[in-house]
Amino acid sequence: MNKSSYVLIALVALTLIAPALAMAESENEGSERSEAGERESGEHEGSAVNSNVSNLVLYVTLATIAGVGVVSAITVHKARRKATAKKLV
Amino acid sequence: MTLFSNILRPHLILLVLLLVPAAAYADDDNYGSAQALGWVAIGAGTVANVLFMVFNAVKKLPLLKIGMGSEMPRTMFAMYKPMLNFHIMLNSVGFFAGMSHGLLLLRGLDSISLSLAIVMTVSMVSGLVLKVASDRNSKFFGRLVHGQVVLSILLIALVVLHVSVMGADFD
Repeated sequence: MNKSSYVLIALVALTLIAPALAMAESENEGSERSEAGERESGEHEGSAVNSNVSNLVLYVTLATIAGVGVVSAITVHKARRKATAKKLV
Repeated sequence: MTLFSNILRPHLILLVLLLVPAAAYADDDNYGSAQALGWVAIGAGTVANVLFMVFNAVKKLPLLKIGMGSEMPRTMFAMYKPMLNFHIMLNSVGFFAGMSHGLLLLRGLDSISLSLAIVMTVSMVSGLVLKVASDRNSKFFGRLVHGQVVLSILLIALVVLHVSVMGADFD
């Protein structure tokens, strides 16, 4: 493995760590705010609807990414099977 | 000297480019700078991807349309590697600027922003797999995921949603 690969692996690691850090940090912030939020409940009537819509966006995103992953994996598997069958003939 | 020119120089350029977001943040007004990082990410992503897509579209034009005796196909072939490096570097800058923007404005994190961060990460990781992987199957998988139109449409839609929702929230 040459030096450029090490640099790229470090970049991959950074890339993977960033969202996890963001999630962990947001959970901390969320728990801190939940206590204060309880006192302010009822102030924002439309916020529940907005939160439902944005949650829906998150679910659609996750479903799309999972779909893309599955479709790509199936395509790779099919191509590999075709190549193996050609080799045997 | 050879080590510097062959291995270190491209990565030094990349590292310098990765510091661009930090330069944008070095301002007195923290909120404005953090917000500017988001615009840096959007700008870098737009320039990097639109230019690369236009280049690929022109490269794929049939020879009859360009002219059989034209030097263009050879020039395009020679320019592909620099264009790809430019695409990678500018998108890396955009990605890290976007992530820094997200981390700095964590208080305003909602599901749309989180979705945007996830889609950006998937695109970045698939691009890195495509660049780094030596295994044929991984490379093929990376190319399929990275080139998905659905993922690009989702990314554009999420950027538009994020800008409109956050713009409305902070106005």
